[in-house]
Amino acid sequence: MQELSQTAFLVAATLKVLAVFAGVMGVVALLTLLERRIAAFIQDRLGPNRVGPFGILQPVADGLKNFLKEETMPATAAQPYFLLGPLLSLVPALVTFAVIPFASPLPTPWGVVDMIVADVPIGILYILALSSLAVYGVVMGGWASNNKYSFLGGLRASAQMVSYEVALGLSVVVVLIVAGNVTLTEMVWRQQQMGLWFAFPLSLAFILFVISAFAETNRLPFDMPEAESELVGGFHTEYSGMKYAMYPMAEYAHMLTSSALMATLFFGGWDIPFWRGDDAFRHEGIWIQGFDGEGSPVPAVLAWWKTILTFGSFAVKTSFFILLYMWVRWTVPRFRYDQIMQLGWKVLLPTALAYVMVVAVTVLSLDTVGVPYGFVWGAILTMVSALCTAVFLWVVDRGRILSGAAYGLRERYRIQARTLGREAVTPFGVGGSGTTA
Amino acid sequence: MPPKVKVVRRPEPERTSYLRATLKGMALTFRHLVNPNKVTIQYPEERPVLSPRWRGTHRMEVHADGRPKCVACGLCPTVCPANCIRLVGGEDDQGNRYPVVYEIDEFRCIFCGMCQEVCPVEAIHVGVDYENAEYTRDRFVYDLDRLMEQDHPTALLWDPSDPRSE
Amino acid sequence: MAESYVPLLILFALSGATGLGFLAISHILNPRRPTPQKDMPYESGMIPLGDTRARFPVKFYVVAISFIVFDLETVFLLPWAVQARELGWGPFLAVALFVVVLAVGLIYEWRKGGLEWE
Repeated sequence: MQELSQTAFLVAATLKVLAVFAGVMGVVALLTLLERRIAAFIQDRLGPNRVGPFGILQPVADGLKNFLKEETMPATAAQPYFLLGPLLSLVPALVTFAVIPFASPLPTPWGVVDMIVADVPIGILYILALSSLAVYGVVMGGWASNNKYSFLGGLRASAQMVSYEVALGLSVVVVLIVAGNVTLTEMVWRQQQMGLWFAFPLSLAFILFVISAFAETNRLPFDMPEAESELVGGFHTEYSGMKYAMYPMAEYAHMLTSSALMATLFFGGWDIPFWRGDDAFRHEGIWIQGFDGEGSPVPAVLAWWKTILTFGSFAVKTSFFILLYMWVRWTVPRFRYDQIMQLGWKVLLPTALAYVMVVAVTVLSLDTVGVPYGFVWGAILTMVSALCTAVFLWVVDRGRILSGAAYGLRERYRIQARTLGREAVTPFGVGGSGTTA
Repeated sequence: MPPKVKVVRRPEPERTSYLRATLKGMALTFRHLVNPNKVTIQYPEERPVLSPRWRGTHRMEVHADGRPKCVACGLCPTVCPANCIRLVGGEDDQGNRYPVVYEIDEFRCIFCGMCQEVCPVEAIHVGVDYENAEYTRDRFVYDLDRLMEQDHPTALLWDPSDPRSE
Repeated sequence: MAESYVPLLILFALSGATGLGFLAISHILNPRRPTPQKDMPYESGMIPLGDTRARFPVKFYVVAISFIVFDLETVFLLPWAVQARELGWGPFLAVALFVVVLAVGLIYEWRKGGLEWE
């Protein structure tokens, strides 16, 4: 298991880049078809199945159509920014996949090649940074169109994405407390060491991450920015042809990356459950499978068939989350914009902050007591998290914080009354001025 | 008499669990997802089942020797609500009336079937046919020869078991 | 360690080239038939009224400010979280104090209505 030489590393890197890029583009194209097919199946009909076998060539037809369409541009639009908007949306979406490990390392005659495009030390910070960049594409598209609807749509979209990035970052902080490193390969390794995927010990972080990821990628129930019936097309009203197509491509690429992240952070990435044989991590230069009873490393046995199996496991988990995205989209109605903002700032943010503190206390207590990092450690954390999740779902979910228009109105009267220092006289009766939200 | 009052119990917002409602909804959509019975008709391999009273493009009946049954009485252009039938009548040398020009503009037609109802000799019929796409607009004006050579079944506007039908 | 960034550069270049390629190809293959109606900004079929660079509501600005504050809080929490287990209780108490201070700010903003109707 020697290290790769310089040229071998470059060759392997280029091959991996090409493979991952082609894979991401292919999957994004297939996702457009899959979305339509799943939507149709849920609605008791068949989707497009004429173009190729099972409609496989439909994305090709769509892409060809988008290339050949006339692209109108409003005469008063800011031209360079109009062109730049879709580009800024698409490029970060395509490159975000680079730090996600998708299989166990592959032994080749020239050395061991790890199945991640760029094993940079910054890991998940790269992904957080690029998802912030995605906001730029939306805002720029909305502003450059020189159209009031697009402008407001872009602004609302960016406000929504930005509000949920805080909750996203905080749920990642929870995972970092347990994982101890920002790189995703280390997170997979920690889950393998613990014998439990992080979704169980950190269940509330998983729920918060899922909700925030739905809002980040502008998917229903958070798709107010592109709600077709509300703001025409929102920020992409004035776009047509390929420039428009780059926005949904970016959205599907973000969806793919978020699903892969959910699988990696919370479901073990490429780990196959209940099997120690696939654990692998580069520990001080050698690949180990774990530590035995005395703490000395056990070398890992790498094989090409293990790579394929673990890639299959990763693909299954990512596909499950993508299906979850689509399944939820065709089930739940859209949230109103103020409900989205309320959820992000008043529910997710305080919950995430409190949960960070609870997990930190639990972890430090477990370490102080001396429980070794392993299954028992994880099981205790699971019970604490299950308690927090139950509290979150049963207390917070009762329609007190996030509810219909009437509740917000009541709240507004209360704030007014408190500001004026008197009792609130509302259509719901006379209420006190000191009650809390 | 006082009207019957039905009391609808709606769940109060403070007592509902949105999570349970969402999960019930997701179970429903999942059941639809895996349900193998879809309502899509795979045209052109499968055709929709049309009822015998379905009204489509027209057909002119002919006598055994190939002459149209139409006697150019002028009832169908008069009754047509969309004004789509153009009829110019004439007499042949034996004194029988026949249509010199008979055109139906299928674009204007609303396929109501009144021309078939009103025809005293059961010459013009609306047919059970819809597969007649053309490349140019003027191909949609059916003249007499074209109407005579259509071969699809005609709409059954009267109930055969009704003794007053013919 | 620096060489692990090279694949990232290659991927960036490839993605950027693809994006530019899409724009270029569609620019070449497009039919261009501008009409006055197509050039106008879309406002549900009417002639657009008013200037599009009009003032927009201030609540977006408030959201942006709140986001900056809490995102910076997240950024400060990140290095602590990575080392949380090694550092122990002392730094945890310091960080807890930091989070409590910011939580007080959040509660203040909530009660004052800064998070309303947005």
